[in-house]
Amino acid sequence: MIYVSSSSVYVTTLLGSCVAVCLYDGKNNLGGMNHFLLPSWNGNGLASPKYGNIAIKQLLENMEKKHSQRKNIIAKLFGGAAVLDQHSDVFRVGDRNIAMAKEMLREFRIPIVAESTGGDKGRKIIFDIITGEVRQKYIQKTNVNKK
Amino acid sequence: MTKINDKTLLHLLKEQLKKKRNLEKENKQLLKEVKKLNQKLLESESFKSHFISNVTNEIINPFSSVKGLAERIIHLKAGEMKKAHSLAKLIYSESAFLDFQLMNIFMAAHLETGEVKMEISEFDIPHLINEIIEYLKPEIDKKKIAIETNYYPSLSEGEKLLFKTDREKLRFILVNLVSNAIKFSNDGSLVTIHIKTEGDNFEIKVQDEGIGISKENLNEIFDRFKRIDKKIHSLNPGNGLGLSIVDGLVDLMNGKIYIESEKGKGSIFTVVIPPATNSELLSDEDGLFIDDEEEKF
Repeated sequence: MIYVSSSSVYVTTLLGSCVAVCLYDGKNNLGGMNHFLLPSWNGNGLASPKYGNIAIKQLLENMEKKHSQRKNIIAKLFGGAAVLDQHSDVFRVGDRNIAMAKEMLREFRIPIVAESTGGDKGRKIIFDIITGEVRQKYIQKTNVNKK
Repeated sequence: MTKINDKTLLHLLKEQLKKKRNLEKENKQLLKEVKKLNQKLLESESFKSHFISNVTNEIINPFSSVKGLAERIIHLKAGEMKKAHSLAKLIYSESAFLDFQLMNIFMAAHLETGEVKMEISEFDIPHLINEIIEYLKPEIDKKKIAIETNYYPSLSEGEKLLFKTDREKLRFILVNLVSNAIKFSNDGSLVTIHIKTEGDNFEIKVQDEGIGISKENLNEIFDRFKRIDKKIHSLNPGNGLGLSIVDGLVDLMNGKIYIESEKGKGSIFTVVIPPATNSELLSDEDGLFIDDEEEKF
């Protein structure tokens, strides 16, 4: 998912192992957010924004189409938790998503000014596109009754 | 003034030549990659339009069939119950096929936009397998396929085998694999479903005695719009989405998928899924416990 706007909107999403990159252009009061599931597209099938390397690139391109300049853009990073228990999360999708996001932002020279990543709890985030502020709440795990 | 002697000059020339050769090599490689990408683009365009016309047919045809069959039932006389029953069965079969095609298309679209969420529950595996076989009964009966199910370790009559993951996603994966096995099998042949629970993981193998896949085509098999052999495709209608969706869902569930196949000798598709041990992987927001405490960034 990718969303970019210059209108007065809040963008909200829920994150488990997925990562959301919030980009904000303070000069033009313009922002955008993506939400990706997996770190990188391996070249097979369609290049979909469910992959981090595609989603981040497309988010930035969408902002530039709305006349944003990279030098004015900052990033805030959220998500990438290990919401499955450690033994099951053998593929460490959350960690890999975070690493991909940081690598891509470094490549595009976009500074990460804030982040809330990793851990073992899901997150709900609300991104205020006009001010660039992100509010976050953690999602509690529930207990499972074993049969 | 610095004197450059012959030895130094020769060395400099050799360095320049080496650089030139490296650049040429790099250029050749880049050109190769551009040609490859171009080819992929052309293939993608061609298969996309092929897919669209194919999907259109596979939705329109069953609908027309259903309409025609219903019309025939309307015009039946009193006392033609047997004929009505027979026509109704055909309607059911066409509807089931359509339901399956549409499910695949929607799932593919959702996977593409990243909108698929996991809903975890604990459920009985044999019950799920029986449900899948029942769902695919029209296809199974049409081709007179024999379906065998084996459990390792074996289960006694009525014994449950519980597993915790997203039941609907797993059902989707298995329906596609078993449906493919039936589709590419000859009439009257055997499809075997092997279920193994080793340690925590759940492993399922779907084995058929059908046409198999050549080595060259194995790598391309999960490509979303590609059907391996256009000739086979025309005999076995399908839009090629099924396996790419299976791949996407297995990925989402942190699982793995393997294929063993030989052209003309059948295939074995193996899926290994680890259990989900938390009851939520963030599904419906209303069911979540969200902290009161809020942080600002």
